Amino acid sequence: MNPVAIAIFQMLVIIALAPLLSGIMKKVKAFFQIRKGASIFQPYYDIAKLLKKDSVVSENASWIFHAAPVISFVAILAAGMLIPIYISDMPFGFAGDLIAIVYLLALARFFTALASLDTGSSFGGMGGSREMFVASMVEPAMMLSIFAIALNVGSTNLDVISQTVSSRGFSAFSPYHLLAFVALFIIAIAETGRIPVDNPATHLELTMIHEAMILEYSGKQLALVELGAMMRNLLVFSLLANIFFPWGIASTASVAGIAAALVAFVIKIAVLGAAMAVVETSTAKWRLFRLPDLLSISLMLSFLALVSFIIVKGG
Amino acid sequence: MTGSDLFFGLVVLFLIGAASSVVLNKKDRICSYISFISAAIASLLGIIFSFSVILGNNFVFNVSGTFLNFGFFVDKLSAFFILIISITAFAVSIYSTGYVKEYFGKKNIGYLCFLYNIFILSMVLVVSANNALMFLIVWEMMSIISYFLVVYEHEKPETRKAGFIYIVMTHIGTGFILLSFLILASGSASFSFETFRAGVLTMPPLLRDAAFLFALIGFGTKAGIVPLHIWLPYAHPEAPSNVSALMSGVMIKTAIYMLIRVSFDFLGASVLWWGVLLLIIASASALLGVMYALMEHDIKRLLAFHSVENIGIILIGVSVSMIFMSTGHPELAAFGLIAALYHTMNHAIFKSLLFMGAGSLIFSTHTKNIEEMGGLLKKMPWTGMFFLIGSIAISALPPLNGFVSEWLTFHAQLLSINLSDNITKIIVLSSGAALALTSALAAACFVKAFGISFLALPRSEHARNASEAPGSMLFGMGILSLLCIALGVLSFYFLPVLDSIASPLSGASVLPKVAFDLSLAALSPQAGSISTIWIFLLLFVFVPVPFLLSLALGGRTKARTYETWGCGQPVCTARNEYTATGFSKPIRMWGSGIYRPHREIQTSYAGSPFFKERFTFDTQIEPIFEKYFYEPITRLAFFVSRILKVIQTGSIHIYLLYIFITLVIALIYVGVGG
Amino acid sequence: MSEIVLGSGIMQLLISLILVSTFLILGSTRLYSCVRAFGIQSFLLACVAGIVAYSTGKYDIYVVSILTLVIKALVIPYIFIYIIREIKVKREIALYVGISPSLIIGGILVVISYYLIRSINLIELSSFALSASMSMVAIGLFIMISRKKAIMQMLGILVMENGLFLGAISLTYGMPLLVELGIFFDVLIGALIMGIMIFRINRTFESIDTDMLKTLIG
Repeated sequence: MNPVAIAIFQMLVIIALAPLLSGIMKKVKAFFQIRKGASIFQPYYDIAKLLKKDSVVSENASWIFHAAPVISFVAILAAGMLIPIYISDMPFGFAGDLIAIVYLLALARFFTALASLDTGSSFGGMGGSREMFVASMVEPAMMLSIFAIALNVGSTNLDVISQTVSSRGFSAFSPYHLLAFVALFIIAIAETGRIPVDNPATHLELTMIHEAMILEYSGKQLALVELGAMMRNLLVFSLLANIFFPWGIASTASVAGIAAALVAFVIKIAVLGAAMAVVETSTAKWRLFRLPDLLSISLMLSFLALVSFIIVKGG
Repeated sequence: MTGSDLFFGLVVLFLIGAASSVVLNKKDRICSYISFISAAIASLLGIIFSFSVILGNNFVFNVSGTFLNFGFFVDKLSAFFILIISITAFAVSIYSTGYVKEYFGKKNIGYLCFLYNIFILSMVLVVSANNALMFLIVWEMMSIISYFLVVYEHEKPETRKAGFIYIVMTHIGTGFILLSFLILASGSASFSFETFRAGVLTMPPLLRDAAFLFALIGFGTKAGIVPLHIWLPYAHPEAPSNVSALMSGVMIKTAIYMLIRVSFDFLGASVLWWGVLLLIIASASALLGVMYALMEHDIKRLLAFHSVENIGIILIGVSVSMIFMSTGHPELAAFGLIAALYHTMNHAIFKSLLFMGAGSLIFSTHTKNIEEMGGLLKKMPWTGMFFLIGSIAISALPPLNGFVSEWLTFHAQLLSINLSDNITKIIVLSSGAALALTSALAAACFVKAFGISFLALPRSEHARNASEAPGSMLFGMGILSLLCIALGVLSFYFLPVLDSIASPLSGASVLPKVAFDLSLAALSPQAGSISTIWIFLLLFVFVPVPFLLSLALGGRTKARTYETWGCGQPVCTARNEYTATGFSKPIRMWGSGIYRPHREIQTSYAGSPFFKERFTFDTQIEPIFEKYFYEPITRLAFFVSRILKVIQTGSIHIYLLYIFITLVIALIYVGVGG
Repeated sequence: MSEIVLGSGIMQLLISLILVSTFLILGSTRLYSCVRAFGIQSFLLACVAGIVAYSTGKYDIYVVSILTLVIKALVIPYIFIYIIREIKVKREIALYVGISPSLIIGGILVVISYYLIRSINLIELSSFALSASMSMVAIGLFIMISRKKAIMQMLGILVMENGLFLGAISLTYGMPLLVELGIFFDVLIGALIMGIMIFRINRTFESIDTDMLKTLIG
């Protein structure tokens, strides 16, 4: 298939599947809370509803407020082009590696945080401040686990990583791989704003982080922000899925392979999403100032992954 | 034009700029225009000259006198630094024509212009000196002139204090540089840099270690590495903003130049622990620099602390390269050096840009405190735009230039897997975590710096009355903003230049392994690659997607303007906004082990204890380096001086007695020895 | 030797999980989760011993493995939980050193242990196992230093013991059975005695915070 077609299809898949993941996670959470819960398609209806609504914009807002949802959306989408979703040899794989993805997501966060300060609401500032704090705590652990993966596989490019890991089969399950996975899973909790780091379902000023940042958005812009956040979730999960369990991903661009890979992908992110929902229901939200402890556990796990790799392989 | 025409042309032009400002001292406007424009033209010559050297041959000029041989030697490394100086100086000179208007009639403009020209000239001479004595002379010239520039607004007591700290620290640094050069000269029996290289080969290892350590302390003081950085956050903010842009953007880079020159060129980077030591210092500088920057609300001090951080990042690249060099991996060393040089260039550009932006803010709001700014993006749209570009670049976000150099640095660290010693590997890889934390904190800091000063409502009367900076200032910032974008997006095209500079120092050229069509790779496209131009294009191409999506699914909708939600309360003034202090609070709590914050709350009551009339909240952090490192040293110095005061009687006879005794002892010594 | 190399993938995994469980003890603020992590650690250790027994074919190591499972993974955690329940101690452990610094110090200890054993020339798996065991000893000591509750001191010494056990089992395939039995007996009796001590401390000071022992100096 044409590489441009693959890229466009990948973009559509990311946009289309992002609300589904969110719906599945909500459903699983509802199941564990012995509730019926909304349909897994509810996020689609929410987005569609918001897109039709007029928006109210603060009179203090500057162009940053209007630009931020678009820039974040675009940055997340660009990061999505660098992540293998259903094909390991994606057309823009060369354009950026794991580090670039991390920084593209940081670009999205940078603008969201700026927009949070733009309206002059103290909620926004609080959310922005906490978001940047948590993001700073995440970063070192993330970089060390990227290093651990890169040393293990010999590359930071995701196409190479998923190809190498899937060709290794079960021997890919080395301790360093596993440790890096657990570390990245903890990072994914923080990165996607889940309990115990942030509660996506709250509007209580004491606890909210991401919701506080986007409190002033409404209507169309809110839809873009929400969709962007869902896409970010999806991308983080597909990172986890396709770095550690890339089996089933298509290595060549055939229609059958892609179809099978898409099914495998949906199953993988559904399982990861369910796992995340279990974590969410079984823990309480942590105090903001205890979060560095959680993230230093992740830092130490990735450090152990690095050290054990070096001791075993490098000596 | 030949190289020497260009070189001496630029020297002469700077001198003309300086001389004209002396002559036209009384006519502020003409004086400033002539001298800044001649500085700008000289800088243009500098850009051409440096390119002629980078793409062509080294420039050598020697004068042999009876007593002293001195000369200029501009190889590719020097030319690269001349390029950095020239680009920055060009933009800053144009900016200055507008900026100095603030001083018209208040201060002596001729004096400022004179110092400005000589200052840039001295920096150019520092990086092209070919003789230790001549180097020390121009180095000292640069230090003293920058001192005069720092104390330009000497009527303020804090400026005089900052100047004092600066001059003391810089002279301690020069002392160590002198020691290092004396050791190097002892091996070669000459002060010429050329002989240093040969002399080192026969030098005992201990002396080489000493030469490196002294050079590290000496140049590290100028570069602002922790714990020698304390002068930097005092001196840079006190200088006029155009000068701070040059000091922070360029002057501290001359120290990086000399560190690379001494450790790679003279000493051959042959010992492993040099690199490891430098790596640890560099990581600490990066991390502590940004942590202190986060606590600052004075925009220029904030930027000055970011210089400490970025010097740390540059030195991480340099030190990783030294580690590779000493373990016999020239290709990896070249890669590390490319990362360091790229970041040097980038930092010069975005830091000067940010300092100029800060200058514009101060120009129109007359305050340095970001808590008193706010809402300026509407009043100063262009300054805001340029400051935003600088902020994105310094936060290492793609696709701007800071990202590219940090990406290269990360990969340089990752390449340490090729080392044979596992402990070194672990140290180098762990420094990656420090670098990641640094860049994330930098992003947090610039969300604060930009968000608090440019967004939301004006926080003071000054900010309400602000207006856009004049065109010349915007032009100066615009040039550097474009360069930030160009160096990021078109990074691919700059690598050959950097490679040609790094390869003579490391002994290997890595260009074919790093630059592939339109993308950069970590020595092989399999190991990791980025293509900033493609990332940029992707970002650009995707811009219509959200619009199309919302139009297709939602149709056209309206937007209504209304008050910000204030929990149903009708108040929404600047007093309700989140402050910079509040913004950095989580990080202050997290880092309380280092910051040691303490706070004071005073409440005044309106009669009854239940009705609080007024709160004052004050929070401060403890400057640990000053308190636990410098204060004991100062106390010791005072103590020793008090003891030594005994021999200072003030009586001329006693002094003559001292001379007599010394003479007798000397004679006896000579007699016994002979 | 060849059998061990055959199982080395699993061994690596187990050893790194043991290290992780050590860090879990270091990284949690709840007494129960510390005890649970210790139980998991002992269980993993029993697995290591089992694999060693299987690949060397020595039956006495099977005995050691089963003893580890029973005593360290079941009985001792049970004693701990019994103590915690009986004296109704606050479940949060008091610290001298915060969680994040503790974890970072733990990481540094791992590197230092590796640095120390690096000079000994070993095959790769043994060097990993030995550095893991060294760092467990160091971290166990660190736990004893940095935690206030008397129970954590006990736990620290048990982690140290586990570290020594790991080193012994993976390098020399265990000490003679008699010595091993002696050690188990020691550990068990040690745990019991410490338990009684903790009851006494609790009765005297109404707390098991070892800071209180400072008041004994009179």
